[in-house]
Amino acid sequence: MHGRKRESTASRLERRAKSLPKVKLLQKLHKEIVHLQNADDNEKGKDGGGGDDDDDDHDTKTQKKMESLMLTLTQKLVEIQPEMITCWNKRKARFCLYVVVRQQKNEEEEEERLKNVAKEELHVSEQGLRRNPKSYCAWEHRRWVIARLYDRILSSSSSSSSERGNEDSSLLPFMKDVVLREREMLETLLNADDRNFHAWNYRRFVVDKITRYYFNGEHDRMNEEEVADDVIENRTREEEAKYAREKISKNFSNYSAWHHRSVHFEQLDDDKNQASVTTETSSSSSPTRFQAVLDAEFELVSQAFFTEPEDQSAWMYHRWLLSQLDAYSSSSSSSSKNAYKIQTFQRELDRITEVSEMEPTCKWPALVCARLHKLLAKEMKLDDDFERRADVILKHSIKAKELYEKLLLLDPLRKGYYRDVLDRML
Amino acid sequence: MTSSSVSSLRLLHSHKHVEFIKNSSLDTETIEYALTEHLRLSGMYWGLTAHKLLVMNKNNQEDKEVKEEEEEEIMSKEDVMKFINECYDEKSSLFAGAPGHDGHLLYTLSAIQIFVLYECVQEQLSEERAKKICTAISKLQSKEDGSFAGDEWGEVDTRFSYCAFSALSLLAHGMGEECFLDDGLEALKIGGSDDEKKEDNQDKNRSKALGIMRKIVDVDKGCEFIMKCRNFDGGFGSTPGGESHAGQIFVCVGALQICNQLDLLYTADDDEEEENDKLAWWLAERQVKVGGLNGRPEKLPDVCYSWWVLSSLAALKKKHWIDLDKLKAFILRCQDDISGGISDRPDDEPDVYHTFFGIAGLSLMKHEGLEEIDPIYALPVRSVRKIGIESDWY
Repeated sequence: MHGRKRESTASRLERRAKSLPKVKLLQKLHKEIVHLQNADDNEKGKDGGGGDDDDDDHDTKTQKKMESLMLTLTQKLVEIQPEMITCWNKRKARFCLYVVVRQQKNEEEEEERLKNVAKEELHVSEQGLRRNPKSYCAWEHRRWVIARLYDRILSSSSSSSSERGNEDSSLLPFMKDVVLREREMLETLLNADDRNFHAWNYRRFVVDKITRYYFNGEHDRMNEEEVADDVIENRTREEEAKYAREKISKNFSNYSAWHHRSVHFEQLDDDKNQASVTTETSSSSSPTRFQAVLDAEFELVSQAFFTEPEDQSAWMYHRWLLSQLDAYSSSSSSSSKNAYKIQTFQRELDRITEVSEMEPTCKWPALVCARLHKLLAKEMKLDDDFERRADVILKHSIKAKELYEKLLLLDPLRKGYYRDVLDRML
Repeated sequence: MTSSSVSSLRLLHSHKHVEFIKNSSLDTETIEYALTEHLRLSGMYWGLTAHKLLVMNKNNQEDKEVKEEEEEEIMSKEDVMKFINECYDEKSSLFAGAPGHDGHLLYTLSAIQIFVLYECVQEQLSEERAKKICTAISKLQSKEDGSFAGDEWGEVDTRFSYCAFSALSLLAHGMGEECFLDDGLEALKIGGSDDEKKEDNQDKNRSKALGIMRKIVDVDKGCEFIMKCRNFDGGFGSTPGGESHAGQIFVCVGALQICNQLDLLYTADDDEEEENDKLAWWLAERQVKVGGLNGRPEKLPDVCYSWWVLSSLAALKKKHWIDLDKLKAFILRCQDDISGGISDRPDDEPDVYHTFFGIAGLSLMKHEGLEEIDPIYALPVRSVRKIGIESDWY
C-alpha cells in the first residue's frame, strides 16, 4: 500500500478485524450496484409493449425510485473508493437525460433541473476528491460534467439564436459561477499539494476550454468568438505564465509549475513580429522582443538555481531554455541571431561557473557547464572563421571532457551516461 | 562498491512472494481486497504474471521449494478463465474490471495479457468476439486527433493509446492472420506494404501485425497524438499539456515501439545529441541516492517506478545509464522478509501491485532465477515469443 508503514502480523490481524464491518458494507454496495444495472436493463426490456396512462405513471414512479436508489448507492461507494468507475458511469448516464436540449415548452424549468443535477454531480465528485485528491475518476467526472454543460450552451445558442438570443439562457451566468468556484477549489487543492498533476491538468482544462468564454468578462462573447480568439489566447497565456511564476517563487522546487510555464511560454517569431522594424542593421546590441523574453527567463531560472542548486527542477528548465535558443536561431539563419546565441551560451557559462565555484560538490553546475562548453565548441566549428578560433574550440572541448570526467565521480549513479557522452566526444 | 555488498545481503524471497500473492487472492475479506474490486482483473494480471516470472524459470534460488510450488498454481487455469469471461461486458464488447461492471480498455488489455500468459488466446477468444473487441477499440479512437478514450464516456489519456495498441498487437499476433482476413486480404497487403521490405522473421511478424492493426485503427494518427503529449523535458503526459510522468512515458514509448515509430523521438540529425538524449537522460535522473527510482523530479522513490522507468530505458536501449546494482538492492530492501510481498518503499506495507512491479524490475535486470520480462508488453519473454513476438529491445 502506498505510503503505509509496515505492520506486525498481530497488528495486521487486529486491523483486519476492525475493518471487517467496512468490508461487509463495501461488499454489499458492490452487489447492490451490480444488481441495480440488471434491474435497470430488465425494466427497459419490459417497456417495449407500451401501455395506458396508469402504466406510464407507474413506470415513471418506478424510474424515479430507481434513480434515487442509484444515486444514493453510487454516492456512498465513491465516497469510500472514488475509483469505482462503474458508479460514475451510471451517474453520467442519468446526467445525460437532463442535458439534452428538448426545445419545448418548459426550457426554463429544464434549465433549473439541469443546474441542480450539475451541482449535485460536482458535489459528489468533490466528495470523491476529498477522499483521494488524485482520483482519476473523480477528476474526470468533473471535467466531463463541465464539458457537457459547455456543449449544451453552444448547441442551444446556435439553434435558438435567431428566435431569442442566448442571453435568455440562465446557463451562462451559472457557468460563470461554476468556473469561479472551480478556480477556488483548485487553489485550495494546489495549496495543499502543489505537485498534484491532476489538479494542474484540470486547471489547464478549465482555463483553455471554459475561461476563454465565460470567465474573462462579457458573457456573450459567443457571437464574437472568431474575432476575439487571438486576443483571448494571448491573455490566457500571459495569465497562466504569471500564475506559474507565482507558484515558482513560492517554491522553486515546484516542477509542475515550471512545466506549466513551459506550456504557456510564448513562442515569438521575431521574423514576423519585427520584420519591418528590425533589420540586420539593428544588430545584437538592441535585443528583439523574443531575445528580451528569453533573457528574462534565464534570469528567473538563475534565481532558482542560485537559491537551491541541488534541486533539479530549475536545471531541467534551464536545459530546455538552451534548446529554445537553438530552435530560435535555426528558424532562419541570421548572423545576429547566431551572435545572440553564442553570447547567451557564454553568459550562462560564466554565471554557472560561479555556482560551481560556490558548490564544488554539486553535480548540476558541473553538468551544465560541460554541456555549455560542448555547445560552444560545436557552434564555433560551424562559424566561418573557425580556423582563427581553433584554439578556443579546442579549449572548450578539453574543458567539457574534464567536466564529464569529474561527473563520473560527482554523480556515480549515472556513470553509464557520462561514459557514453565521453565516448562520443573522442 | 557498497551497493553490491548491500545487495548480496538480501536474497529474493521467491517462495514467500508466491505465498503472499496467493494469500492476497484468497483472503477476500480484507479492506484492501474490497477497495480494489473495480480493478480485480488487472490485479489478477499482476499476481499471475509475477507468479509466472518467479516460477517459470526452474533455476530458482530457492529451487526445490518453488518447484513444488509451481505445481500448485495461484488459481486453477479453469477458475482464471471463468472469471475473465464473467468480466466480459456484452454491451461495450470490452472486458470490465469485475463481473457486472462496465467494460474498459484498461481491463481489456489485462484480459488479453492473461490469455497470452496462459497461451490460450485462440482457445478463449472466438473469432467473433475478437473481432467485436477490435471494432470496439476502433470506435474509441478519435477521428479528429487520433487519441483513444478508455470507454464510451470519453476520458482521453495516453494510457489508453497504449492499451489499444498493445491489445490489438497481442490479438493480431495471438489470433493469427486468418481471423482478420475475411474483410479483405487486399487491405492487409496495402497496410503492411511499407513495413514488409525488411527481411527477418521478427520484422515480418511485426509488420504483419501492424498491417492488421492498420485495418482497425489509424496507427499514424494515434502516434501523432502521442507526440502531441510530449513536453519541454522530452517526457510525456496524459494529454497535451500534461506534466511528464514516468508511468505516462512507459505507455507512450511502448505505444510508439509497438507501432514501430520510435524514430519520432529523435531528430533526423545524429549530431543533435543533447536533443536526442533528453528523454533517456530525464529517465536516468529518476534514480535517487538510495538507489530507487521516482516518477517525477523531486519526488520520493517508489518500487513501481523500477518498472515504468527501467522498461522505458530498456526500450530506448539505455538501461546502463543508471546504477542497476543499487536499484536491485533498493527493490530487495522493500521485501517483507517475514510474510512476503514487496512494498513501495522499505518498511511499508506490501501489496500485489508493488510485488509485481518489483519482480518485473528485477527481471528486467536479469536477476538470477527470474524469467525475463518483455519491457513493452509487460509479459514474460517466453510468452510473447509463443505468439511470434520476437523483440530486440532488451
